[in-house]
Amino acid sequence: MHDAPLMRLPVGSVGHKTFGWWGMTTVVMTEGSLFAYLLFIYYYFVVQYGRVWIPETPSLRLAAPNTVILLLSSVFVWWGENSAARGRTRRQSLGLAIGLLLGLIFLVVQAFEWRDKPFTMSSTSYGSSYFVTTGFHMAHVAVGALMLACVLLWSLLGYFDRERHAALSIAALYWHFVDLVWLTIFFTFYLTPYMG
Amino acid sequence: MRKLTPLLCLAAASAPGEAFADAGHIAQWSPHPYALLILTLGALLYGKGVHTIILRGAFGRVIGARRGACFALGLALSYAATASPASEWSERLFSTHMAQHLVLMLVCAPLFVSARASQAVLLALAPALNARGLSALLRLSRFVAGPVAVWLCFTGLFLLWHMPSLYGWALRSESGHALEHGSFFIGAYGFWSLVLAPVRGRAPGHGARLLFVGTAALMSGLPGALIALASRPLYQIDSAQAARLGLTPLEDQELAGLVMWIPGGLAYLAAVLGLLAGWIGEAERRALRRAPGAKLSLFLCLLFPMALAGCDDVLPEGSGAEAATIYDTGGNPQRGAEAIAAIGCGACHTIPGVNGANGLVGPPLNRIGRRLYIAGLLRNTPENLEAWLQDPQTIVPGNVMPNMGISKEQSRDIAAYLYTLR
Repeated sequence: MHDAPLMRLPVGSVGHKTFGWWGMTTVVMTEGSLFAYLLFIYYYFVVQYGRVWIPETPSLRLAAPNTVILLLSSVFVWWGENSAARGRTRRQSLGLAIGLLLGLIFLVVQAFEWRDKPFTMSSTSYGSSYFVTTGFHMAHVAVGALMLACVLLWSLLGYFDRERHAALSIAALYWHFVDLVWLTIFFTFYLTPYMG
Repeated sequence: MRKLTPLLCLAAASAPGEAFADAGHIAQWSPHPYALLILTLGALLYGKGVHTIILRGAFGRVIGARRGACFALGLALSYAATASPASEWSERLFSTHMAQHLVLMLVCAPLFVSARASQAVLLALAPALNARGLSALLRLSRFVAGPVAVWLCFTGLFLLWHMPSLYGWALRSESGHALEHGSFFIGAYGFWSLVLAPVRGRAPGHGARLLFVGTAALMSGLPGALIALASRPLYQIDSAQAARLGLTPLEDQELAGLVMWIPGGLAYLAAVLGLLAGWIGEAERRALRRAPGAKLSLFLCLLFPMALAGCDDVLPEGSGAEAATIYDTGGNPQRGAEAIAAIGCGACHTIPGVNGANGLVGPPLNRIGRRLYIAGLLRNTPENLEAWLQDPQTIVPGNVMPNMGISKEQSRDIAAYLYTLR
């Protein structure tokens, strides 16, 4: 046998269009439909009962900054993925870490937002709609944060390189989707009451 | 709701002038100045563009008679939607207003796109612009024409204008109304440009377009459902005209919601079906390019689902009657073994039962009678194996197995021997 050094076979596929990527796009489709119908519930009740259905005009004090936080996290995750494609592993991990941190901050602020509500999930149909919709979204954020944590760990362990970082792209796709969903929820629950 | 049904049909057809004539109102054609100006300008520019094409002798290639007819039809419908008595009624009746919007967005806009209106207008404007202006215009159009941006613009405008406050403003203000119709049309033009563009190069594929149209359909169907299901009037609309027709404002609104929901949904459904047909056609063309003889088998597979059941990759176990018929080549295995030795297959292949056949270039042929595929792409059948033996370079050009000049008889004998290796 030769004395050549053992070659390390690369792990993962080149590019992002893997089975996981297509799987994630179908998840995005099903979850997107779920949220479309959750928001339809809100609009249905508003149309049926009018403004009186909304117990209090929701305050933007926490929700607006929280929206900015979530959007920023998306920007950092995008930056991390972009850095991965350029082979800048430090920035890649940093982007993921900041994105994850901002996502966790979002969850904490959202918990305060929940605590401040004068109604409960079972007090009115508005309460049910609000807590079920935002609750589903928080669950999605939590899952997304878990994904980011895994990807961050793998990134720190050096599992990704310039070509092979499909897992990172898949997690980023999910994260951007969750942010987009929040924008629609924010618009629906927090902005439409001001638009009359 | 019963008395609404005939009205619904008329509203959907967007030609309700006759229906309203007996309501004691003699309807007049009254073109709106803005609309008339824009339609005339558009027609002139399109005509100039087509004229340029004719001068260059390219009529029929970029834009032909069919596309010209699309433009004429789109123009006529746009005029009817904005200048006919229906449009005057639409300022007082919510449901006809909705039908007017849908005709503009879901019929006129795709007709203009099919007519290649933007290309013709650009061609007409080209002499008036310098090269820099033209390239800036093209860059701008590429910048705003991304699928996500177009989708957000189209559905966003649609949803925003149906919020009661904005809708009321558009009805009260002349320029607001023009802005509403203009933005609806521009958003729809961008939307249908993406959907109807030829599928090639970097343009989105059929699947992406299906998602594009399907989600937009959802975003316009749900508000329609909301409006139709609402139990109180949502919009501040003069109810006198509706009352003259025997409609309460709520009934007028239910009708509008239904128009938005059902005929609107049908337009999207038509687009979805067209895209699906295009997708299937593309898949078929691709399959035929790869294997020119595949058309008959494709047809059979589509016609008889049973044929598909026979396509699964499981060979019969054991050496029963079925297995015997599959591998009966009609050749002589003894002569086959002699041919293998004479041709020298053993230089490249390891072949059990042939003296000195221990080559390591090609795959070993032990148990080849049980293999599912040969050459990595052909089902292991006598016909395929014989064809492969005779002419491997035609089946997989450039592969390592050379054409050995094996005759038809020889290939039958060799296959007969190889199928004894189980």
